[in-house]
Amino acid sequence: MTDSPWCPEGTVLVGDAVVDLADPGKAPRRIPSTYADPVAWMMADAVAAALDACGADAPAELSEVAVIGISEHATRHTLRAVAAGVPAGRMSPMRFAAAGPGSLVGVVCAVFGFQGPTLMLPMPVADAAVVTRAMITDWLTGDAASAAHVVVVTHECAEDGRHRARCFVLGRRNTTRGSQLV
Amino acid sequence: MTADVSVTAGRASADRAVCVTGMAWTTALGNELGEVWQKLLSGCSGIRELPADAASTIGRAAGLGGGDFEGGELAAPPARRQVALAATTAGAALRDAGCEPVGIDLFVLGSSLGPHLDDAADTSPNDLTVLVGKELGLGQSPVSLSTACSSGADAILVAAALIRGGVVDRCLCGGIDLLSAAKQLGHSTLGTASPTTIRPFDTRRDGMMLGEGAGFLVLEARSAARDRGARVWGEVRGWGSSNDASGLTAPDTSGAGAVRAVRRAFAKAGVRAEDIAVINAHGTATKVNDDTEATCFAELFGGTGAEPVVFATKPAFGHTLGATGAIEAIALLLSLHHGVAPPLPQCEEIMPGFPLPLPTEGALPLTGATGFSLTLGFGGFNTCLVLERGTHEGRAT
Repeated sequence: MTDSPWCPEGTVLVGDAVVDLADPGKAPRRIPSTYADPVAWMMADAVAAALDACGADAPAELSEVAVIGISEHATRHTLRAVAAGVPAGRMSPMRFAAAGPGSLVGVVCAVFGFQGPTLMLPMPVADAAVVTRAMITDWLTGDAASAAHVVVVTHECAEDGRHRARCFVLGRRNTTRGSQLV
Repeated sequence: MTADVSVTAGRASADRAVCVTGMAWTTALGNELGEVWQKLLSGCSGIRELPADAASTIGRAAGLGGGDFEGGELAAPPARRQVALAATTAGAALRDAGCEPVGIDLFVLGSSLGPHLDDAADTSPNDLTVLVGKELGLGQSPVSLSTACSSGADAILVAAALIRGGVVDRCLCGGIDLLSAAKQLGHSTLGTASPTTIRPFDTRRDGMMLGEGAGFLVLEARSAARDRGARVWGEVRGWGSSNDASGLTAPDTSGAGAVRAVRRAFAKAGVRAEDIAVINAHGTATKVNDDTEATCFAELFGGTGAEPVVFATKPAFGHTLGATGAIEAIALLLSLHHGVAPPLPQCEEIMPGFPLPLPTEGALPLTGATGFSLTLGFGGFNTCLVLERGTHEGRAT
């Protein structure tokens, strides 16, 4: 397995995956009776594939799995849909709750049960590299580390309209199970 | 930016301690730190009737009014107003720090929904963050962050982590959200808005009231602050966060997620429950939020003998969503600086089982230098910041 650009010193790539779709709405809904932005389901699909790629090294302690989501496009689809109804006084509470960019990470955590530290960066993926690597370091190998694994899930919309979600699952080098994290 | 530097596990050097050297806010009670603090101590509230033409579905909220906000750019369409309010407030934080924009290594801006439900312009959150940075004259690419009601606190968390990690020396960070017809409609349909008034931790609590505002802080490595003789409001000692993994609007009412965030922050700060003198609670006055926080505090402080005072600012400022974490961090630093917790007069009948003292009868004096702020956001985002009062006559040493 090769190192990813998201791997700071002291960390290792445990698994990764890419999901490429013309329409993110084709990604499966993983929580019944719940509305989420299509990008959230697409991100969840990428996370599921990356966890599969981890095999036996997949994170076991869900309270120690941190998540960083990165997408400049973020929840634009839902924001537009909700905004369209505002002048007429129409608002779906479920869509309103799913309109915030943070909901992308909230959905990933709800699907997989991740309870570690979480962030959502609604910005270009390339511009987020420095801050993402720094947060991975803080959570995995910094003083009073608070996670055993970090799930980085990115989403980008290409010029041809295709959507791509990538997920990288990172751990500490020589991570031992049952570590004494907070 | 300096190269990516790892911190030796368990020991951040004193030079990498994270100092708060500047702060500013724009709130429904005004924008001068001292003036607004005095209003908080007097139990004032910025919640008022909204103008009839405000497309209001709620009727009352803590909007910005008077002075600069009656005209010009701060009365402009939503996207322009968001940029103007952020730039105005962030610029005031730079002036408070005595710091030029060229000295800022990183700009982190948090917002929940921004103006994007109310503005026809097809802008992304990052587009607006970039515009704010340009208006301030900041040179580097900014960081856009959105973790619902934890956005402002998470902006501080990220900035502090990058300073502690040796990646940058000086950050401008904070949060902003505007009051808007769409947000009022959304919270009205969700049932989170109070039909009466906001009463955190009161038996009669029935929801929150929206507000708007901005809060920004300048954070510096102690060495950088010392080198320029900066005045220090306090220190970001520790930070911690967690996710409830329980869905988009419902918190984990067991309090376990909030407890995890606070314990992570304690570990990072190297403090214990007994060291905490004061807590700025999220205090939205929704039943589930207040229950969650009460359970969290009982778990954290039960059996320790510690009894920090708990206060909440949302009766004064309204719920400012993405700004609230930054505004509440500033309020906590002022509370520690002055050694007093502002009153919570809206709480007349304390909810059964609330485990810690609340300043219901008036402001309460503090007997320590350390406190924490807790935010709980939609999407399960729990964030805790452990802050400490400045020392050494306010100068970095």
